[in-house]
Amino acid sequence: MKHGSAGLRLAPFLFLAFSIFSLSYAQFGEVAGPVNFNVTLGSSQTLNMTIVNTGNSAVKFVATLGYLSTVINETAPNITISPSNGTVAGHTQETLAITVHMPSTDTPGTSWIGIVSVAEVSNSTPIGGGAYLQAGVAKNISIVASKPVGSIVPYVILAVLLIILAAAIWYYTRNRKQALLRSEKKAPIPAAAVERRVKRGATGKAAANKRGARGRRRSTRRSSRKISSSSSAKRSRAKRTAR
Amino acid sequence: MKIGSSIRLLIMQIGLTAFTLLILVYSQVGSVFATSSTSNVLANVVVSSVCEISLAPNAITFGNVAPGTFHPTNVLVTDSNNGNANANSIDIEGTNWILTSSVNFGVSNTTYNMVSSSSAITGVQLSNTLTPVTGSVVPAGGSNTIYFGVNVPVAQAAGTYTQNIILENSC
Repeated sequence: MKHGSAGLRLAPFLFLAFSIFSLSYAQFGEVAGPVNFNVTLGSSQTLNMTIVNTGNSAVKFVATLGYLSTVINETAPNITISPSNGTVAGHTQETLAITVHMPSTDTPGTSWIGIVSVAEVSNSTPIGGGAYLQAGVAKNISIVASKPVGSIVPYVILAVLLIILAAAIWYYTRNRKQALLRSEKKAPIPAAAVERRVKRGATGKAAANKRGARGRRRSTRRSSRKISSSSSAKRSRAKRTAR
Repeated sequence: MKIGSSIRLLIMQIGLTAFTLLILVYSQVGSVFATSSTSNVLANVVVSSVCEISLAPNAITFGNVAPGTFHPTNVLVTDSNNGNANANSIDIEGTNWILTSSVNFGVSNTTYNMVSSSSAITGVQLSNTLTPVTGSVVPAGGSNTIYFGVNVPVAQAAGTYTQNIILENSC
């Protein structure tokens, strides 16, 4: 391929490529800094991007998502920019809200990169031909899908239930013990039991001999003596009072 | 009785001394609190940096180009950044060359390069997706240059074609 004279010979197919544009020297800019999204599955996150016009004349702009990477088997997050167009007056700034909605079906940890484009829109219309250059600012964004944080409510409910259960068990056992103690204090020793003890004292000697337990025998003897002595004392006391 | 009265006197003396000391301490502390003092609070604020863009020229003309020929990638565009933050890259995208709605040719026929070239083929083909230009940092208060060219397809209908090219500084 050649250019120049060869092209001029082919008159019917010539291009007349020129342009007449009004030149504006507005200074269009953006506040520096990264915009990193960490979006929970099924939810949205909004971060801001600020554009500035440091020139004297107003600048019309249009904001679009210029680029978003693709990840195999993953649904791309939905990105919206608000406002998507407008005018920034001279020496003022405009804040654009970039909202990312993460589909709930995506895998946690998946990441995307994108470019949010804010391009200047000129009022002038190309009268001739050629390439019309539009200035703009771009913001690189990164998006990471994150796992949703589990709700604390079920754990709180479980904890409350456990506390209630523990309290109920403690209260039940405490009442039972108290009831047992009360019943032991109130119940009188039956007469039959006393008689049995006395008899055991009398017959204890023989039983102890049989068992061959010396200590037991001694204690039995002592207790029988006590019983007999106490009964004789009672008898003598009764005689004295009768006199 | 005599011993008792002397003890009482001693206690009174101790009490009087303690009271005097208390008054003394209180007056000292009071004077500390009553003294007026001045101190400076250092306030600071960090205003975020800004990167800007200004293109010159904002239109480029390739002139007459015959079908099946090219204009070399040597048409200069200067991207200036008058902000105080470096523009980490220049992002670029474009549209198709349009004569009428039905007569046009593709955006990829436009080529760009960071250096001037005598050929359009050596340049990078423009696309309609925003793409970072490799090695295109625009320093704060500085500028960078991009050169453009065009290939005209064979047997393309004659006419005056127009295209939009968007150049964006990113920081």
